[in-house]
Amino acid sequence: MSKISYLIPRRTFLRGVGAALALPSLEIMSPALSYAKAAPANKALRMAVLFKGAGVNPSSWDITGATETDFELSKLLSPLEKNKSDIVLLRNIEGSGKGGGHESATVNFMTGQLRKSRLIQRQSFDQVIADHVGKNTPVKSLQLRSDTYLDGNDPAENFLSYDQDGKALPVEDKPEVVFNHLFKGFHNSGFRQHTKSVLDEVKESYAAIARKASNQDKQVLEQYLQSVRDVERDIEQFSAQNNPVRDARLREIRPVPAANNLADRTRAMLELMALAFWTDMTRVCTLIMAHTESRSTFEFLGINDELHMLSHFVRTRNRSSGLSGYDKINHWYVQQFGQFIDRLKSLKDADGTVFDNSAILFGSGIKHGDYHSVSDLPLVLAGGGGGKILPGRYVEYPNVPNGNLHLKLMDIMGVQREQFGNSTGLLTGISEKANLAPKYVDDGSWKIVKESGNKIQLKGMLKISVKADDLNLYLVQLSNKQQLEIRPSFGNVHNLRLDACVGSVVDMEGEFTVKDGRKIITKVTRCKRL
Amino acid sequence: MKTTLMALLAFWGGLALAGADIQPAAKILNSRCLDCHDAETRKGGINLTKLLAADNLNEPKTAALWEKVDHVVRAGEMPPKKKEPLTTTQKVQIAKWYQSTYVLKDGREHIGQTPLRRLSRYELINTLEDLLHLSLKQPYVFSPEVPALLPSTLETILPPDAPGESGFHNDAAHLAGSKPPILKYSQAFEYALHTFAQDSEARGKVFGFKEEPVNLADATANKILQRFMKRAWRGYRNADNEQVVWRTYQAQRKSKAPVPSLLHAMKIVLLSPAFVYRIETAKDRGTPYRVSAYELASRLSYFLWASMPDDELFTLAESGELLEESLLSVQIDRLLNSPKRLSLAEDFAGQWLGFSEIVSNRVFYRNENWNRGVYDEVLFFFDELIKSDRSILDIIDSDWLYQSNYTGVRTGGSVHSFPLKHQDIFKWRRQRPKGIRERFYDPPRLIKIKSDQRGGIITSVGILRTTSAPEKTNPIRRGVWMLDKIIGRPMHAPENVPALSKSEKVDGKRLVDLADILKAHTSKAICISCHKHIDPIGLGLESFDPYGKWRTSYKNKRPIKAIGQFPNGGNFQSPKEMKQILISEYQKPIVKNIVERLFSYAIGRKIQPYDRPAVERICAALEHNKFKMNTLIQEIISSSQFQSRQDSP
Repeated sequence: MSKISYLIPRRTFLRGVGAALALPSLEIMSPALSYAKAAPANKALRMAVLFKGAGVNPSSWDITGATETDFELSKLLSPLEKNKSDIVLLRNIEGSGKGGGHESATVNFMTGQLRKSRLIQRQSFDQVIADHVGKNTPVKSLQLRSDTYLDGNDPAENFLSYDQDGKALPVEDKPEVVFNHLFKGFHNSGFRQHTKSVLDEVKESYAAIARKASNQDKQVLEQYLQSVRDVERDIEQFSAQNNPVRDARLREIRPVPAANNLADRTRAMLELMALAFWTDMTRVCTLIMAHTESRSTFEFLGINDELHMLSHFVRTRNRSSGLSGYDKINHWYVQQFGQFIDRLKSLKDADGTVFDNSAILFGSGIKHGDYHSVSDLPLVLAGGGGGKILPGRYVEYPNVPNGNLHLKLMDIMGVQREQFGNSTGLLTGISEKANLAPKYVDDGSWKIVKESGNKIQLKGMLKISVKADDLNLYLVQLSNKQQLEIRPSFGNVHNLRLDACVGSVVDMEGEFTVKDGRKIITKVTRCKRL
Repeated sequence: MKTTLMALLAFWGGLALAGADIQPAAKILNSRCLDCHDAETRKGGINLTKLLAADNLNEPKTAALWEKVDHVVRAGEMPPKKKEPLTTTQKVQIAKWYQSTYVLKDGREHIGQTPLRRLSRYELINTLEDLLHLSLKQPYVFSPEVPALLPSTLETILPPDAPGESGFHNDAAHLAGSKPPILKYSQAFEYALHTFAQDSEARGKVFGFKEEPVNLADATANKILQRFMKRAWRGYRNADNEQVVWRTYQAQRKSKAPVPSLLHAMKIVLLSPAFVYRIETAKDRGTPYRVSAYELASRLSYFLWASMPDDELFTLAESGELLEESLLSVQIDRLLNSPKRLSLAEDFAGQWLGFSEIVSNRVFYRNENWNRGVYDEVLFFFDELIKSDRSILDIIDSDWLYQSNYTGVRTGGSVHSFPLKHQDIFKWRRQRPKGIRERFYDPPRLIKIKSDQRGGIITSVGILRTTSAPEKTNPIRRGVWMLDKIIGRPMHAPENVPALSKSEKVDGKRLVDLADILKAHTSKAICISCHKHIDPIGLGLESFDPYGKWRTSYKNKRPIKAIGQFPNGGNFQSPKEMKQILISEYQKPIVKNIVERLFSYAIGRKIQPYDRPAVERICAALEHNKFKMNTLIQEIISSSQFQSRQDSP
């Protein structure tokens, strides 16, 4: 019941935030709704992105020994146990480039390409969708953040959504402001009428000024007119829509309470997303739950270190909360995701529940928190997608660019496009069973190929093993069931991007020593994914 | 040699003509630079072969690379020390080519196209306050439930601005690049006018009457609106636009009482582009020409107050006297004596140095007094530079500072006899709403420092905290911050190199001291090019813990070693010595950086190559005048960029 309980009456909200937050007197807290003749609501599909940056500990995230329909959840995914039949777990979907810095992690996640410059990127996939479906709703799309703003060197990290010109769309981080934005204004017919008449006069004022403006100023002023027209169009659309279902739902909306800390803010934002979807105020929404370089601390979990620092768990091994803190935080985020799924399932829609008509992508722009690999991104897809998502599965793809996933999400939302970012085609195995053959079959050739002195060449499946007291261990699985340990230095893994090869069969060369009769590779000189 | 170079440049600057010949410069690059920077070797990622083949010199990447070439040649950074230096003639030839191509236009200085400026959210709220005689901002109320400064109602309606290329929210190009949020404007103005309508004092000032009259003569209403339009549009005159407002009023009068009709007309005044934009009259000229007195009044008030001109400025604009130089400088002094100058500390310095995050970013919240005290220390410090006309180098180190009782940091200085003027300032922008009791709060006091642990903004608790994790300092973050914000050399996190590792080993031995780890890490060739600049500064600040307190050892009892060496060889043993090296060895870049930041903020755009002559003049004037803050402000206002317009680049 905890999901409903944080919907509280307005007075509680105001008391919580302090009298100074008293809302403008736009007579909207008690909307005077227009009761029009009922018209059947269209089946509205919704799409949300929950971005939890800063990667994961692969050993705690990855699922092993599973088939498409028979799988056990890993430690980090365990909060989704009750949602096993609601989700599709995606493996081996990868971003562009080879990983590396933080700058591209967010942009890569949303565009399937590396960051273009500090300020301008390519259009993000959610906005491609919003361009198509956003015109049906009062708010085209919502961009939210529950993590705090990041004063990084690179503005690109602060945004998920980029418009057609590649400009970052502003992100709102105060739940009360989002609430005002969504639920105050348009659905009051008096407000609509007043605004419309004011705008007529504003257009006249614009015309008077534009007539006398210089050519260069005119170009900038033109946007003012454009913006006025946008509002007019939105008002007209809202008035014409006669959506009694929406009107009835809007009447039930109660303000979300003030957010006291990161946990509350995250829940408030997710609740607002759920309500926005339910009332069909918008159909596209992105939420930054955690930045890749997040400076948030998690006192409510007993963790006083910054998430970003913890995510570099190989290098910060001596920190107090260490790996366990990092896992705990990621576990908590997955929990929030699970609660969001439950919340959407509790909201009835014209056809089933809001969840049935949604596609929710949860994940991070990098895999390994410390090495920033962009292969095998941690991704979970949830929702019924209006029948276009077949949930309850675990799909191990051969390495597929994330642009293919973007294309598939567009497709689910009814947007046809040939190509996006790094895409090579539409991702299959989402609407239907993937029935993929295992990516690698042990054909008996996984073995040591050459050995001379301390030099070694071998072929086998590369695995990672992260334990609290052994953070940087890699293993190569051979056909004879033997697992060869690789204990490289940090720089070695980083420079060779060894982490990006985990889960693949590799052709590897390196140097080894022998300890207790076991060969241990101490330095990798070459590693190629086969 | 430097003087000769400058003199020669000045000479050629006057003579150079459009379409300068690239050949002499190209020849020098070909013979002296391509060994390392051709398309194949591309040392440092610099490809000069491509640069020389570029057909469009105005293409941003090409222009930026030429700027870099010009800079490294002028600064003597290239060719590298081990190679034979360029001759003076060669240097001049490159400089001349660059100057005539990118700095000058037809051989003359120019200021580029003047952008149309839209009010930033901060400016808009200030302007509404001054225009309507209201207090619309949030007082300093930290709610423990929302561990940050509460947003004002207007801030919950109007969306925040994102900083543009200039680094500031008032960047004209960036504001022009995003659509004005009309619906939010409409809601914000509705709220402001609603507040105004309930405030009899404010109403009296705008309407001239406190009691609502049953009938209002058209002539009186017209006069009220005329006056309001003139103030709201800051002297911009447009008869058609005035007609729109008047017609609105008359239409409203048919069904409404006088005051609601006036309020409606006022809303149209505010929603007019003439309010939201600072419209100036263009003469369609490609060369700089002076703006009108009204336009200058707005430029002044938005630079120094981030708000609209007051009555005195309007009067001087009306008479045209503001354009007289002697009067202008009197007005600048007056504006800087007003508490409204706080916007320079709050908006300009707050964004530049990022210290406003102390009160806006929840991750830095400790308790109300601590956050407020820490924030005020920096805010008052910056304001003191203006108030007492101190040297801008005091930002690096000073023998005075503002100290709060709530930060737990004691400097052991003596309290200046000072009339607590800042309390007035404090109340000016952020008044308590009526009926809410002022909690006791002791603002920071100006003290004369005795110990040499402190001084300057860079070792203030606010800056040290925002550049640290809660329980651990981050020398790299501190170093990068200093290079970017203070020295003006932004660093970008590398995409491909391993970051600092605790497992750094030398000869199989694990290193324990941070300084040694950094050294081992950064001795790698790929790292050193950046870390030789970052590390000394970061290490020099290790004497301060994450909360800005002085410390002599880490938690594990290991002693702090704030020892380091700058790339040019300057050694230091303490933060104080490090700061002294910054002031003596890095003075030029620091001064240039501060000039460019404030200049950008003043003119609402990024500094361009053609602004160089102006920047150089301001730097020179500062050097002659002990780097005084008010010299900097006066010089910026004297510049053609500030006082003139130009209509094509």
